[in-house]
Amino acid sequence: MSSLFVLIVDLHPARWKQLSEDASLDEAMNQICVFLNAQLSVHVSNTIAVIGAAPKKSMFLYPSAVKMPSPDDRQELFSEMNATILANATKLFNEQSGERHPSDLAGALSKALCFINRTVRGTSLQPQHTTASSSVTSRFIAGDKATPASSSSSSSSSAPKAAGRDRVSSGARVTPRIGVVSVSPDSSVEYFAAMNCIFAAQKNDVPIDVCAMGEEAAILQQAAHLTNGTYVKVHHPSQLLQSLMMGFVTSSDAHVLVRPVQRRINFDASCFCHGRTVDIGYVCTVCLSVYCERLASCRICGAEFSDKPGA
Amino acid sequence: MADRIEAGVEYVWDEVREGEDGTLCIDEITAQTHTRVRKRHALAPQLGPCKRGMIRHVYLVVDLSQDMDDDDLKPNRLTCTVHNLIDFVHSFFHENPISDMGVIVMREGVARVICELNGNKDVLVEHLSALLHPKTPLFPAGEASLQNALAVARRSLRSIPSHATREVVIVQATLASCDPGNILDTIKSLRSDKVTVNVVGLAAAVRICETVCKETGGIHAVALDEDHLGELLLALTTPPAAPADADATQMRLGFAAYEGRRPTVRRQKDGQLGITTGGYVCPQCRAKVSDIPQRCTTCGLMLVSSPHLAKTFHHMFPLPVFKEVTLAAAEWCAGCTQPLPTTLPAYECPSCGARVCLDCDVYVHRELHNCPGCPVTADSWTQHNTDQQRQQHT
Repeated sequence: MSSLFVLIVDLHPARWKQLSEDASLDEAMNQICVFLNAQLSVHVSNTIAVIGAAPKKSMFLYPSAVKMPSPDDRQELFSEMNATILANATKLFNEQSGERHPSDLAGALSKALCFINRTVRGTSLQPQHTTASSSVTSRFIAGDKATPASSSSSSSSSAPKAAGRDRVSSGARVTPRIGVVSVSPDSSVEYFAAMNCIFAAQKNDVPIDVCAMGEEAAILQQAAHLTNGTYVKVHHPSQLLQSLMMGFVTSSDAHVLVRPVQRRINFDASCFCHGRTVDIGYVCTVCLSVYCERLASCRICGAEFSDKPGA
Repeated sequence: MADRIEAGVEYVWDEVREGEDGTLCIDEITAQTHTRVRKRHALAPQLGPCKRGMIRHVYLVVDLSQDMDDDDLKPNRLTCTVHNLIDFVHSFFHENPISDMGVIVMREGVARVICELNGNKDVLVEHLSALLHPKTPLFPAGEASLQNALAVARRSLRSIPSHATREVVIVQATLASCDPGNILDTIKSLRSDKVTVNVVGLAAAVRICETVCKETGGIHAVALDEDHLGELLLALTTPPAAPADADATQMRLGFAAYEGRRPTVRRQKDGQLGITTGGYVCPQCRAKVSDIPQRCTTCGLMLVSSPHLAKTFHHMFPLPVFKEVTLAAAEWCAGCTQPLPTTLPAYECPSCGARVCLDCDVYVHRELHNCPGCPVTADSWTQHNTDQQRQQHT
């Protein structure tokens, strides 16, 4: 079974410098390229995409928007792919080197999901519980309605592809996956947007595998847990390749090795009134804001609470 | 259904042709198709930030009268309905994680609860798929009774706390109702109990359904075909706007932490004891449950996680509708990188100016609720809320 693997690489300049004195981005990117080549070699119709998440900007590193000649030779293709990824990553890294903002992880995840939606929809991204018969009949009966299947196939025939390797034959079943190599801790600014991405991934059965370097990333930890992905903590950049190969090279349903288990994930919320982390809270039934004590009215939506306690 | 009968015999294979790359496709995409798709996905209307009934209690009422055996929906009404209802259950619990649902069937003049209100979608899906089993005792037979179904639903829903919504979703195939008394009295009592009734018809609009929905503030719609039935049901998964006089309370919720390694005996959903290595720990009594959201089996505390609460935020802060623009020069979609030709309209985000294709436009509004181009830090509508988010969730 072929897979579509979208890798998101966190390219936060300050974090990379902080991470390790002797670790350079080039070295890590080389390891990532080795991993991506392995990923492509596992199955002949495997496809990949790479997205870079820099401060305030995220973009596709591969396939790049600039049209590339698609060489027939696989070796040639690998070397060209590696060169494109390295060049684009370095460019993005240097472009945003002055920025102190957190990396645009939510933007990168959104792009990855849009890409997966376009490439895979109509083949396997239908939720698993939809029966084949009903989806097939509805697709054909709804001839004029541009169902995702028809729109993706006719757009691929009407316009030339941006890149050579992102074509997925529409008969084959493709499993989409997202991998994240993260170096930043959580940024609370993008909690909301990142959560939206995680729920969309969860709904579309797209697992998010996370490889966190440096600090723990709580949002990504939840992402991996909610989407049934793998979360791996890497302590030193030199171990990156090994962790990627062990954890991510096969899709999660084909794991022969036991996947790393997360010991404990906190789903605590902090209250609106004092900012305290609570494990038992009082939630407004109208706007679902969390408080650590009973109040007369909600401070966010202004709803008056009736006297009798809720459920 | 009517449009299919009028259209006469369909030759679906006439519309299929081979594309340049050898794949089969249905027809060429034109600007009209774009308008139709956008209209279909209702990307135009916008409710804006408003109070919504986030905690819902819904009874699904499935018509199992003999009219359910008709085959105007393929392969027949029952199969098509059940498949769509299973999709509906999945979407419903995705959008409304701390809500409850139950199932009632109308058959042989009586209404029976086959699944009580509960928050476990697997149980609901199991009951619904059992209706398609070849040896099910609940095969479509006799007539449906709208009044009985409404009375059964009301009896159960009236005991629900008043801060939660009380809703009934009826999928009706029959055009007649076999009632024991005056249904208008039932409608009156539904109104006084604040139960909202929505009816999705499979055959035609029925006057009494129209009246029930109008009186109780629900939606009455008739499915044109299989896809439309799915769309109508999916539209009901969005939480309804809460009435201005809705009661509010503070619910006591526990935020359960996930523990992956500690092997523990836990009580499973079916009440049996089993051993597991992964589960959620109740912060009050330290009992372990297999899945959340659900009530702690030992102390009865409602267990959720902060992501469950975050799931509902996009209803309150929706993504703005993208403007339709005509491109001067070809460029690439900001979401999926496919080329945007100048012959077709593209869609532009009002806050960051990113242009996306139709596929992405539909996807970001329907499922993602994020603009792929907006860097979060510069995003005004999110910025407005992130300060609160930061305080609420760590």
